Amino acid sequence: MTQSILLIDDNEINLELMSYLLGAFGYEVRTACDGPAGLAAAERDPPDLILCDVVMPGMDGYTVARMLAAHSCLADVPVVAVTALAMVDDRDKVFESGFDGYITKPIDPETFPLEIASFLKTRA
Amino acid sequence: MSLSQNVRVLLVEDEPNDAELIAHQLRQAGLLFSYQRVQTRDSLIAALDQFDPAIVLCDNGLPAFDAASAIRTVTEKRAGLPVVVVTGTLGDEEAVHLIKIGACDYLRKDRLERLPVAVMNALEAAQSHRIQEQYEAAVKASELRYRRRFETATDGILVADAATGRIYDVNPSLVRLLGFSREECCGQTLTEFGLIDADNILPLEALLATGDYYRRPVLQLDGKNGRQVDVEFTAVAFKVGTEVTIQCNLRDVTERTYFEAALREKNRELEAASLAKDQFLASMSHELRTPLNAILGFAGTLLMRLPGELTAEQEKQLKLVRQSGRHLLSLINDLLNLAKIESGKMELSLEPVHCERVLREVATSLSPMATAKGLDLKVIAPPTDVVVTTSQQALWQIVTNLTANAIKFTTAGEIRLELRDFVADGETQTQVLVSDTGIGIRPEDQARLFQGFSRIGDGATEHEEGTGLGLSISRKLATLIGGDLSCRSEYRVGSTFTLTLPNGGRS
Repeated sequence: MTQSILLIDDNEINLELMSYLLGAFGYEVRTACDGPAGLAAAERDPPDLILCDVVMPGMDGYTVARMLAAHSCLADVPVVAVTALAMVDDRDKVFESGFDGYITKPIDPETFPLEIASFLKTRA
Repeated sequence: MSLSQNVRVLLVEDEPNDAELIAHQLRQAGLLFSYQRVQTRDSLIAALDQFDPAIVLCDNGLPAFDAASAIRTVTEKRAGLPVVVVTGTLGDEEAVHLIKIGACDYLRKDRLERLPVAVMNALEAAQSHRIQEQYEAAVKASELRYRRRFETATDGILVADAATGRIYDVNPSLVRLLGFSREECCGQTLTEFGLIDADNILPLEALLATGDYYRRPVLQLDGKNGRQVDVEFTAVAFKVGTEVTIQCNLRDVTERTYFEAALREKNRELEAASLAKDQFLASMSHELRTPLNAILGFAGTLLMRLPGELTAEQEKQLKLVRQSGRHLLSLINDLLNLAKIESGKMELSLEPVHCERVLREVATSLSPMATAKGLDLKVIAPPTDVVVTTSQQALWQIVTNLTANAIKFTTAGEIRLELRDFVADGETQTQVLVSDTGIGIRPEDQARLFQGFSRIGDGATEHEEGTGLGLSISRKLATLIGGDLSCRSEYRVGSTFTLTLPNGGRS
């Protein structure tokens, strides 16, 4: 069965890159361009994995991760931060907020699908 | 006055017999003395200087001059020297007159038996008078000294009566400090002056009991016309007789408190600026990485041929895009690293590090780069495991920078990563040497080798990529972990960079 991934990022180009890449690797990809839209999409149809940007206007990724963790139907869905934040304390904050993983931008398209697969595997 | 002392007696007497009679009388009383006799004003003056008498016994009926002028001469030349008038006849009125002008006693020659007592009394009175004078002079000098200090002190000083709290003296500095005249200050109470408030009553009792000071580092006072003055306030209480006096010293610290406040404000600004800089760094890092994500990402997907096959030229150009993108990323990382090190934000965790392992990791990650240029990349290490407590991250970063540089600036030959562990001066030393057979560094360039943003090169190397920050970052990291980074190089022969690790944690 095709595994589904929800991408939440305010940058359209980033969304296009990741959805193209993951689509090419056979995942069913859905996108949302901000936190509330992402939460709504996840609630409507829980995906197997959520990749979420951290710095977004309005609701930031930390809040999205916290709300997902608090949601009864979505608490089990792994959430990975994909962020251009690369400072040490950013990393700590990401894990404190309930993210299950952390990938820094720029992503390496050759290794990115493997990392994604590992998050899905740990879940299964 | 002791009898055993030899008393010099000057006789102003024209009759040698009378003089002898007087001497006899004194001798009989057991007085130890020597005497000289004069009968003119000039010889009196000379004897006062040369004979230096302790007492003058003066006749009244001298042919050359009388007792009154003798007394005046003595008083004039030697104030305090006792003169006893010894005379044949003397009316009461005249006697009173002589006493008034300075004689201390008088007696008649027919009653000479009273002489020794009169002499002794006169000597004693003169002695105590001298002591009194000395005492008064000392008091006067002390008072003068105090007054001088009081008047010229740079601190404002005010003196008040403890019982009433009323100020009765202020010095010129206090007048300058507060702007009130002396008259405006005197008569006011300490409370009116703002020196004692309800919460802070001067601990008078304690001050008196201990003789201690009462001090307030900063006290704000109202000067004339709303002038605000910050003073360092010191009070001391002392008791003279039954009266208790309070002296308060006020040192102007307005400027100091102003600068202290300015300094605090400046510190706050600096902290804010430092925070703003951190935030700027974080946000710059984020903003620069975001577009690189698309550049490197799409170059990558194209090179992975996800959208379809590529022509050879397309592949070549895309690789250039990717290479430049990666280069840009390393520049951003270098800049951020340097900024973090310089702002002291770099946190390094110390742990036992297997040095050879780090060298091999670096060699593995950089061997494609070396192979691409046809260079050998060798790791040389002692047979035993070398473990040093340091920052693995910093060590990895330094060795990576040095090795990447070595590869960059070498066109033929080999790059050696050598781990050395030896004992020098009784201490174990660990060094990592990165040597190349590259272009080397000219002696004149070696001095600025470790400075940021100073790339060294000639026509042959200008095409090489880099921020010129690699060595600067490496040295800063080396310093941060307590080590040292140095370079030995020969132009056109090669360079060796030596990282000496701190031997902390080693036995």
